[in-house]
Amino acid sequence: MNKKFYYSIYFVILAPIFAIVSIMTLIQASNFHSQAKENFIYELKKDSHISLTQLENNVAHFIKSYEIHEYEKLVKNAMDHENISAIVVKDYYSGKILGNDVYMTGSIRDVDWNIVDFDKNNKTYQEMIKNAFYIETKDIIDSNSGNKLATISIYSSDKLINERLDSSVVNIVFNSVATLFLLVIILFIVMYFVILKPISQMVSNINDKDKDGIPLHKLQKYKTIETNILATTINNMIDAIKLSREKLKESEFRWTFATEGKGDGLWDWNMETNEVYFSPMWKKMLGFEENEIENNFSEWEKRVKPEHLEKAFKDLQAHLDGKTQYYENEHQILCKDGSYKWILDRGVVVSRDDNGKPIRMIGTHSDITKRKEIENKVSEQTKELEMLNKNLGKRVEDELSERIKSVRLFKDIIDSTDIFISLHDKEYRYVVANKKLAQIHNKQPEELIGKTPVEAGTISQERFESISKSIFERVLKGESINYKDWLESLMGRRYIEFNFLPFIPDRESKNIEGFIVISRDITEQHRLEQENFQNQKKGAMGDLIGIIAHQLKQPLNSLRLNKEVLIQDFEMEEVTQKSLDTYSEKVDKQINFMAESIDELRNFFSPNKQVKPFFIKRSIERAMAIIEPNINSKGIETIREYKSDSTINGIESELQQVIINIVTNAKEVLVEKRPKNPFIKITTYEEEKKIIIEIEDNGGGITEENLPKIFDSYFTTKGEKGTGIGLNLSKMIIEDSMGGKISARNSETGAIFKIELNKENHPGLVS
Amino acid sequence: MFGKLKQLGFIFSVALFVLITPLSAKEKQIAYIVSDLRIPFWEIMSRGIQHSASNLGYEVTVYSSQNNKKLELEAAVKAIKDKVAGIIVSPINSSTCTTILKLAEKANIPVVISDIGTDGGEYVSYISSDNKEGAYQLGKILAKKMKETGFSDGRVGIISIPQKRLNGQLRTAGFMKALEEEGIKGGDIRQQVNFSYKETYHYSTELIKKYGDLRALFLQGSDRYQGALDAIKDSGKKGEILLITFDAEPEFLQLIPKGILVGAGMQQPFLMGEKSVETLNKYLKGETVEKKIELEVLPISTDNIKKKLPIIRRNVLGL
Repeated sequence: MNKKFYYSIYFVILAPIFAIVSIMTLIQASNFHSQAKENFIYELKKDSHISLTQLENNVAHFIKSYEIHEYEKLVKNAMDHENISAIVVKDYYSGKILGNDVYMTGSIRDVDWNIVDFDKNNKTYQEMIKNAFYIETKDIIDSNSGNKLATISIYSSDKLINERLDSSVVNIVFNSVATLFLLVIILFIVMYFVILKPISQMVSNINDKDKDGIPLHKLQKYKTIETNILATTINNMIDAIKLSREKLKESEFRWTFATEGKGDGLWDWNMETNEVYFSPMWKKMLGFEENEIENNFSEWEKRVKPEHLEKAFKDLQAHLDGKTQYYENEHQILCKDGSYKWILDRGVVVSRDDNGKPIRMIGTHSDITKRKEIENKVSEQTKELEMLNKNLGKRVEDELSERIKSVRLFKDIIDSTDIFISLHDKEYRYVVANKKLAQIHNKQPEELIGKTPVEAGTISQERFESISKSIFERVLKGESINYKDWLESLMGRRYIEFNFLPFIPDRESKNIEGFIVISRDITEQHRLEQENFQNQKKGAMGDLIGIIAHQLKQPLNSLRLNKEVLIQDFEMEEVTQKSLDTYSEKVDKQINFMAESIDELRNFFSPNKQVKPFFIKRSIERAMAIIEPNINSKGIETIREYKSDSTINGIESELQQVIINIVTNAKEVLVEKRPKNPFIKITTYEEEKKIIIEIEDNGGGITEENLPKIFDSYFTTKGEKGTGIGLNLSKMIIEDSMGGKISARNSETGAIFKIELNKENHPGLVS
Repeated sequence: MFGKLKQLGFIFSVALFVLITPLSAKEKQIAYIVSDLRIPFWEIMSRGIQHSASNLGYEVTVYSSQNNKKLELEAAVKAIKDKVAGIIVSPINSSTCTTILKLAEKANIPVVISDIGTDGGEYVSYISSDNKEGAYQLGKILAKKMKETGFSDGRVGIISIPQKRLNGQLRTAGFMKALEEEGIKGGDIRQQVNFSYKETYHYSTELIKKYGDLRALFLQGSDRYQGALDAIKDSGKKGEILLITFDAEPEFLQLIPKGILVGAGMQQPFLMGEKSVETLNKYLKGETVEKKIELEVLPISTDNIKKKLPIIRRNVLGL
């Protein structure tokens, strides 16, 4: 109804200025008008008077000398004062001559303000002088006779004064309007840049706000003190708002954290609108998504289990009435999945109106379902415990008796075995030690219990530091370790195989509580294996010597043949220097071949079996140098493909022996099976940190049945001819001696033996 | 009714005026108002007027103002009162002429101005001498003489009538134009104030002394020529400085042939008087007349004086 008008700053400032300037202009114009008019009239009278005085002084002479035209000229000149509208001379002197009492002459301005001669008979002129604004008249007296010569009248008009005044007023008004206009424009520009633009920028800056409605940026500095103060004040206000907002957020966060952090839901009830804000956790607690519950009191009310509702309302009302310090009620609420959850509902009125009527209340929902369940269980179990308690004494007795029996049986078992068994706790102390173990150290088992192996004297301090300690630590971390070593004991130097296992008594918790050591004396077994190995090597050597012998036989025969041919040539006297050179060259070739073969052999059998790094390519080539001629002579192609020529650490001759062994086996199979285009191919390549040597043939392969057994001792497919130790020996060399691995598989046309060796980099080594 | 009576009255008045005028206006009577008959120029002119008026059947009343403005004004009033057919005026000056014209105009009497001129007012015709052309011709005569006598690189001094007067300005301009054309250097100029012998003598002496190369003097009025001749003689420059005048005196008829004067510009007052009456007569007869008539100023020198003597005698001297 009362529509309020807001005025622009432009209007507020410019309107009074406009009014003031207008009034000032009017006053000034009015003052000017009256002042100027006064001045003009004064000027007019002055001009009139001066003109009259001048005429008075000058015309008498001309009148007296009858020079009418001369004084008429003076009169005309006097008309130069533009306010003078007419000058009339009544010449009594000339009048006498001219036959009248008076001769009237003079000048007058016509309607166009041009100066014309005065004609006394002209009515217009008579009218004009009659209506003159100002008239000044003077008699010209002859100074000699005292007679009146003439009368001069000067008539002045206010026509020009009025015109000039009008024009001046118009000028004043025009100047004032122009000044006002200029002033308004300057003011407008100044106001725009100094006041309105900064205000507009401030408003725009303040309107650029975050989701909380707080301006994002501070206001810039301005050039005028006032705007700067305003900007600074607003900035301070923004800072203050931001600070209080942050504090509010912080306290909100604390409150939310305090409640939702522990999984409680929040609610905020506006009692005036009956709107309730339910926090996401509140909804989540009941299995609802954020958008599935509205901000309405009924959302809570309709989910409370009907039989709990009355009590809940009662508690709520008591608090609203101020009877309780806060509202608290435990009730069940229906979840989305149809189940009920126990809720501890607590709240407090945070705002009341002037009449004490509550208008806002906030509170929390805590899920107490588990607590309720536990409470129920506890009450059930308490009953059960009471029952159990009665039977417990007998059951403990029975259990103990059973356990004692088990321990004794266990002790008997471990004492009766030949292996050494001990159980250690995490401090390596013996928990259990069998008799065999105690005996080997010339002690009773009881003497070891509770002591570390060093304290018990079963391991020297030096050995513990160098070997055992690290093994114990690894086992306690869960590793199972198998380990063989020589050990000094009462029974002399024994070769022992140790098995360390982590002790995990509780399968569920999987906690390592100590470790078990199971070890056995394998000295005898080890000796037999070593003997077997040497025998195999000898056997293999025999095979090799056979090969070498055959290999040497050929050049020897050739030599012999050449010798016979040479003798015959000699006898037939056909020996020439050229034929001699040819024979010599042939013989040298054969001898060189034999020398090389012998060198290789000597190298192979060299007693210097040191472990040292060597290039596998060289090793393979040396092995092949021994056997290749023989293989090629059987029509078998030998192929080599070196994709790796790294070094490995070991006894070079042993690897050569393995190569010879496998290649020779392949050769024999190929000789026997006679496939088309028989070949033996040796390939080297690298896989991760391993060097792989593959030896492939196209001899039909190994039967699936035999494949798993080929590396076993005394296994042979060669019937009477084979000793069965070749591949077993190869396996021992590769796996035991060189720490590698050997395996066999079938290809489409034959067998592939794969040797995996650990790569050792030896940059300085030259192949 | 009243308006018609007024109209009738006007018609009656006009009719009466037409009837009375031929009777009262003395048709063959004219007035000549002259500034001063004691001066030969006006006296000769007066004779020219009377001669012509007589020929044309006019009776002339001559009023000499004696150079007195009151007399001149009274003459004008008298002539107007006598209702002469026309007035010929040679006024005291152009200012007084204006008043005469004004009074005559009111009385509806035509006026012919014979020389001098007027500052204003209505008139039938103004008859004068061609001052500029006359002076120009004199300049030419002098230049020729100077070249003949070997004085062409000398200066010429001028003793002038007041330069405020139009005829004075014209005389100077015409003379200077001729000198410029002939390549003769101009000298100083002195204006006459009281037109006395002494004044002319003094100015002449001053110019002669001031300019050593002065070879000629030009007098714009002829009446005080003797002052100049005496100054030349007294300065010891006789025969070295030439003299030429505007206007002429009767004795010039001897002096020019003798070579004492190089020459003179001779106005024709007798002719001018005759011309005034003729012009007025034409006007009164209703013929068209020229508003301004300029009569030749005769350039008389030693060379042409004999030939021009008859014209000089009649038109200039009225003999």
